[in-house]
Amino acid sequence: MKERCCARCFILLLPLLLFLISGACASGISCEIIPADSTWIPGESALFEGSVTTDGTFSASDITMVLSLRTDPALSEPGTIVFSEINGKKLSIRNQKDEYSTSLQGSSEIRFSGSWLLPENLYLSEISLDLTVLAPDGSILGEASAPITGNASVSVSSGMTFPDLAAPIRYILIAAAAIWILAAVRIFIYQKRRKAK
Amino acid sequence: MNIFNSMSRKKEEFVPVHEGKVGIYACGPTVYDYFHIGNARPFITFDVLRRQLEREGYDVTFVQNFTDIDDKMIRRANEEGITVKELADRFIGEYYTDAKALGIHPATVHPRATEHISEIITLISRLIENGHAYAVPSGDVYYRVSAFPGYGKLSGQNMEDREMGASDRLNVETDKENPADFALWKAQKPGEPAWDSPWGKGRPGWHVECSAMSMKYLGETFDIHCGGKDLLFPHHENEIAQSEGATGKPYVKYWMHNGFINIDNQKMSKSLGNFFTIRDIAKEYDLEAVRLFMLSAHYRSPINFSRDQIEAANASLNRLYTARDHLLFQKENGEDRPLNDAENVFIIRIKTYEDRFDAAMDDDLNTADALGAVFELVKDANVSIGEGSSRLAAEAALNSLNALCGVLGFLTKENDALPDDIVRMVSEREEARKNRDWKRSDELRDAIRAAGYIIEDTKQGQKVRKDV
Repeated sequence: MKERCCARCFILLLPLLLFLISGACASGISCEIIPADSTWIPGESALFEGSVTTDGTFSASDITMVLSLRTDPALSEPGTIVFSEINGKKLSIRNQKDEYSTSLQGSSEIRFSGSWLLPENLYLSEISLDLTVLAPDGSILGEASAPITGNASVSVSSGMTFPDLAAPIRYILIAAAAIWILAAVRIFIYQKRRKAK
Repeated sequence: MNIFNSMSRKKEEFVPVHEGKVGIYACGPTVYDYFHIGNARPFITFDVLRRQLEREGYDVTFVQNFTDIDDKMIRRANEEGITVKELADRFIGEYYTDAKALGIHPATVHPRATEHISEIITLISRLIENGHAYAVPSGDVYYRVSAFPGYGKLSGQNMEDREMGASDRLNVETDKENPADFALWKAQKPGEPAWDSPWGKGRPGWHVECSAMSMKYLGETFDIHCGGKDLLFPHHENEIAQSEGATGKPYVKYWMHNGFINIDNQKMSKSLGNFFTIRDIAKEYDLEAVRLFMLSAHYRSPINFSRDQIEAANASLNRLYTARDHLLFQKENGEDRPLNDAENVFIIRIKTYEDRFDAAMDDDLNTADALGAVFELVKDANVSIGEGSSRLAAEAALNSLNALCGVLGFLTKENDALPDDIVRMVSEREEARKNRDWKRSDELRDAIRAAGYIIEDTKQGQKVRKDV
């Protein structure tokens, strides 16, 4: 009897657990970063652009976008990557760096562009431009990554993040939770009636 | 002084053409916009060169032109719907504003190309007469590069390679005898400003204006010609060809070229979005700190402009101002007595810092080492001059600091008089301290700090300075 009760409680709590997990994952934000060129020349600068887009479920007011260069093999000084324009406006010299914080109030999209540079005389098998979008508490809201192939003929794909799927997952889980709650209520009523008999 | 001569590619001892006098020509800005951080480097560097030569007792004539007619000027003036002259007048004014903010002294002469058309025409005529230039039916005049055997001696360019390279490119200037020939005079195109000349209405080419103006103000042979490395070819190479082709005399004794400036390790370019005018930078940084940053590296080395570097330069500048304020306070409040033994030794050490400074500056304008000598002086003065020091010792250190910083162009801000409310709070605090009302004294100290001033209690009384 005790085991059955625990199992039932677990089954009933599962949707709630999934619901909470999906709620935590669902930032309602998507982001992309697109290099202007798919090749690199050590010591030469190259450009990139990208955007951060939010949907109606996004609740945070401020975000911080962080850029980084990831290389294989990893470098102790992996080069320079900076934002130079946000929403078409050139950033001042003080703000041209690898991190930019902004408020999203009244805007559903932030477009950005910038440049990156690798040190000279390097052999690297892989380079990737990474973008991380952070909430004010430091939690990750979204991530995008763009590989630089080193082969001019290969086109570049932009990064896509899990939070894009968060909203549909949330609706499915809400529906599942509702069904489970209805089932639980039905079982509860059924058991009460049986005891009464 | 030893100067690295771009012509010989080695350091040479500086011997002026005329004893005790130095003529310097620096290529100035094309005045179609505000000048940018890359332009600022030669302006600052060669301003310091001039100041050091003056410190060494030379009578310096410093000439820096304004290019006030060229394709960019015409394009920008058309975009703005104003005349080229109006555009030039506006940005020459802006140049003076920004140069002053960077601590750059005005040149002895700032000639404008459009005010030297007759000198330019005379020079071109001389070149045509002696076979170094030729006019074509369209009204253009070209320099005949093949007539000047020394062409390429500054940049090390091989003439044959250059001719081949030039002929490989699309040659739209079919009137030229040789693709490597360059324009001295450009025939008027519709809508362009023009001046009368023996070859019809037109305007001067860029290179010829510098030859004409430099020789007008400094003579046919002068001491130092300087500019950014990017001007070495073709601009300076062409200047040599024009001037020596016309006079048959050596044009310049010493060529000096400064290195490039990078922004966050990247080349500065409009496409990268890291192209900043001095006006942009002044919105965020103290331009005196920008000047210190520029001089913290050797002028021929590339330099990287970054936030960290500028903040470090700002901290260094604050150290200089703090040291000056400290010495000024001690000069006014120190003991009125002759120097003691320790102070006499300190005065001797001041001389060694000055000698070190001059030695660095004489070693091809090594401003980085010269700055090192200034900071040695500051460090020593901070330790050696304090409560109980004589006014004379403080004054000697202050004079030395001001003299050395004067060459580099620092400590330009005057010690501002304290605002009335600060003066009132300082005197109220003085009273509170007399009455041993420490609580009130601390409250006033905090209020003074909140207003942006720092107060220190010394034996000589309260010392107030601005918190920078």
